[in-house]
Amino acid sequence: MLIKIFEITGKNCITLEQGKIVYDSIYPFLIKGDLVEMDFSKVEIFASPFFNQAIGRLLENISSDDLNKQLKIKNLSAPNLATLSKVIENSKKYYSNPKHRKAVDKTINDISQNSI
Amino acid sequence: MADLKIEIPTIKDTQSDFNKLFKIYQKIEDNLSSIKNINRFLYDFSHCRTIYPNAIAFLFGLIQYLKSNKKEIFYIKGSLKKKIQSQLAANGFLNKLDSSEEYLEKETLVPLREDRDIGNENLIIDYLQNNWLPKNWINLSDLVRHAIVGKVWEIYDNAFSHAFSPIGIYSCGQKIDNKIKLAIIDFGRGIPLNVTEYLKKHQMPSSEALKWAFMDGNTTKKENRGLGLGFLKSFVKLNKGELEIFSGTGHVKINEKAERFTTKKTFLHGTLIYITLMCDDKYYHFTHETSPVLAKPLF
Repeated sequence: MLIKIFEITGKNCITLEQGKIVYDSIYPFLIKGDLVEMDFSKVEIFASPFFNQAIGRLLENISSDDLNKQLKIKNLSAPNLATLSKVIENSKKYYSNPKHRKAVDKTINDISQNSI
Repeated sequence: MADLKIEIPTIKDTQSDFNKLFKIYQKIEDNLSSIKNINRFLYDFSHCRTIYPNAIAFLFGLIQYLKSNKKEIFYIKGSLKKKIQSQLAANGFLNKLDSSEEYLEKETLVPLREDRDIGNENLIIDYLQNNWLPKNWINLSDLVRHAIVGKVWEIYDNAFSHAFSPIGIYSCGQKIDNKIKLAIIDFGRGIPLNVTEYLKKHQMPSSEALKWAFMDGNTTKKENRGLGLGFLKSFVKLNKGELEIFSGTGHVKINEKAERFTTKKTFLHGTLIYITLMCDDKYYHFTHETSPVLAKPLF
């Protein structure tokens, strides 16, 4: 699947909300094992809230290995790739944090109990 | 009921000038609660010979802050010296207070801007790119310009997300001699308060709270955020510019030589960020500006 980010966000990829829209577009494909190509051509301005939501958040439920195999990034300049790498590094720590995992586990348990 | 004059002196951007601004704020705060028979607060500019953009953004924001407290503040028209009148007309300060005042654009001024909510992100980006960093002021590659603008936009985003400023955010800038200055201010909770409450460390000095807030990965929000000042800090150092932040009693000054975090005696109810970039004859660009082939896995 090819997703042209400019068609969703315009030339500024900066907000959490934009990131959520992109995340919602790609997550269903990635979680079932499909390949996704994100093309950033024509996008000019980037900010970490966008990257955090659109890409960093994928690490919550998809492993690094799977993302390396399935997700391809195109037309992102070296400086912006450096920002994205930092976001990914932070996201790995965040989603592997036991406190966060504990909160997620508790939520899942609550949902399970309410469903019985 | 009487009017209360607030004398506005000459205000540039040294430490003592910032202290003058915080004293003005304190005077207004003190009078808000204790004296109920004030009709209006009036800015008296008769002793003001020069006024920098940090003061313009601050003083306009104070006006809105008072309005939100159901108090009026205005300025004494006859108190403005010609140079000050011209400057305040050119950056929109006078026009925002009195729409009958003409708004005259001037080449070296970055207009006063008011953002009540986050909905204007594309307009803020345009403001930063076209008003604050026009191509004839500082030689930046498009990528460097975009990177700086993206990082400064994050300052606005952080202010909207964290500050809970009841009146939004105020910005103003100017090219003064060979320096471009931009002030961004909110009158919200301030960074030290957010950090000490989040960490439940109420005795934490403001300087330490600021230091914690600007470290990569730290955030007081539930979502994964917090990438610090990153590229903006690096560029300011390379450019021999300066980045200064006042929040609560916390203060940080970042330049080529040092990053100094201090706890001051003066207090700002909110956060003021002040960026100074040098307009030199260098051309700033990244070493590698193309889209690279990844040498190692991204995740």
